[in-house]
Amino acid sequence: MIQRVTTQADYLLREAFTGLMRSGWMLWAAVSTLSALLFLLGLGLEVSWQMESALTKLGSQMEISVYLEPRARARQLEPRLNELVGVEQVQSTTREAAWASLQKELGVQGDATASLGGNPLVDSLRVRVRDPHQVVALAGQIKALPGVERVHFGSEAAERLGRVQEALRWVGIALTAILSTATVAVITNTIRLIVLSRSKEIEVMQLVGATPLRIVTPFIVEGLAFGVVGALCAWGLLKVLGHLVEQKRQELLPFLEWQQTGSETELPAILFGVGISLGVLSSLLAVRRTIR
Amino acid sequence: MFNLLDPQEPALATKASPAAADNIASFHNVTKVFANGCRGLNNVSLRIARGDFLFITGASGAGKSTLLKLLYGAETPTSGEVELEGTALKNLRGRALAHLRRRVGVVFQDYQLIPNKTVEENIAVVLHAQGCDRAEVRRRIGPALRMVGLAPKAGCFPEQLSGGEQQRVSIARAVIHTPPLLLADEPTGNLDIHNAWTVLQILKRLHSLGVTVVVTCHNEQIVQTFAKRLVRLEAGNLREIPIF
Repeated sequence: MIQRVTTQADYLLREAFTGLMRSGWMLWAAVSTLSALLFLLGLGLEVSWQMESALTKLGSQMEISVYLEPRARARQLEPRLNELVGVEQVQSTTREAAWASLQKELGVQGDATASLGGNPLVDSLRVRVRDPHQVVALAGQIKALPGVERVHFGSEAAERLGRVQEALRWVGIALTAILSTATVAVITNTIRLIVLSRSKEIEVMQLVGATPLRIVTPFIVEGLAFGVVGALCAWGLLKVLGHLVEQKRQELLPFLEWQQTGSETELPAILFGVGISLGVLSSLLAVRRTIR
Repeated sequence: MFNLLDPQEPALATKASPAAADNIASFHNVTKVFANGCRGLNNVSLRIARGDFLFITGASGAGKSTLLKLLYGAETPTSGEVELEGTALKNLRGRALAHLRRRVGVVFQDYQLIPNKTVEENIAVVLHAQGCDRAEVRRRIGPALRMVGLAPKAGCFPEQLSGGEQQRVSIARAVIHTPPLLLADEPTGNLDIHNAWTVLQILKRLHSLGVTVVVTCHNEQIVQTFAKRLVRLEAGNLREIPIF
């Protein structure tokens, strides 16, 4: 059993290695395309993670202030706000408490209420939002509730950042899809060329009793090797780029802190996973006729 | 020197029926019509017994190559049945067909050697394809090369060999895995008479070692000298010719 496995492994690796050596420049075309795709994917992920982290920090300070109509009371509205999806916490302030606080802050002496003909303030609520992306939508929902006069929500910068992040995410998905298709096409053609250049050998192998699996497996191993090498190159480039960016940041923007996002192994795991999947998929597409 | 029936060879999925035990291959009313409507074989029935040295003659286009292709599963019959060691070839695909082909050696008129592999590597392809390890490959290559008289040219590439030598490499490749049936499709077609004679002497020797040999040939002189059993194909129809 062990001998059989070692014989198979010896054969597969030898055949795959020979195939890779014979593919010449096409090998580098496939590996460089895959590396470029994985590099962009990794870069997109890293940028997205950084923005997500910054937004989360910003979002934790993000609240919606809700001001009610003069006759509406915060206590009545509070349960309804708590029911809304995305609301983390609701804190209500009655007009009496707000008026007292304001008078105290302004140092008003005497009875200002009587001179103004009553308490001029209204009940208000402060709504803390779980996800910064939901601020705008939630503010709209709250505004539509009966008894609500105005809503304010904080930092517009955060909202814009959220939009930029959303746009970047879509651009990233579109770019990844386009580049993945291009990569699969290039690797499929590369392996198809290798298959063509070895068609005589494949034909002979079929005639002398090689099983379809035995014929196609070296090509699958070659696709896998494309994936591993492409992922390694992309990861290396990202590491170098990260190092350069960090050096520049320390020089130019020392107050900005680089966020530690994800685990150490998350990015390489994604790069290797995507690289190997694309490599193997391309090989399968190239040799599918041989398998039949 | 040359172990013809290796006990390590995998057994076929289907066992031979007792009636078919003496026949290594058989055709039962086989007709082959190609996609373009051309009729290759017409209701052919033939039994090839173990130990036969069968010659198939006929003009070009008579259906000789088609008959051999049906035997190693490169073609399928339009109607009728082809059996190899009791196993029907119809509907055999993939792994099952691959295992059946290990019981057959094929020699081609145009040699079908891989140009960028040496003589040794060309022969080793068969053993690698069948899962032999390096030691086993080394053990078998030497005797096979000596049998066809090409041991000194083990490291040559096909283009460095003459036509006769290339055909001998093709024979070595066809028998390296010790198949019980050897099919030779016009093995002398591209050779001068001297090389043709050498090739047929090798086939005769393999036959004497127990291999069943089926040869297609249109050279009457060769047929008269070597044939122990002869059939003729004429426009897809088969006729047994008595040998005196």
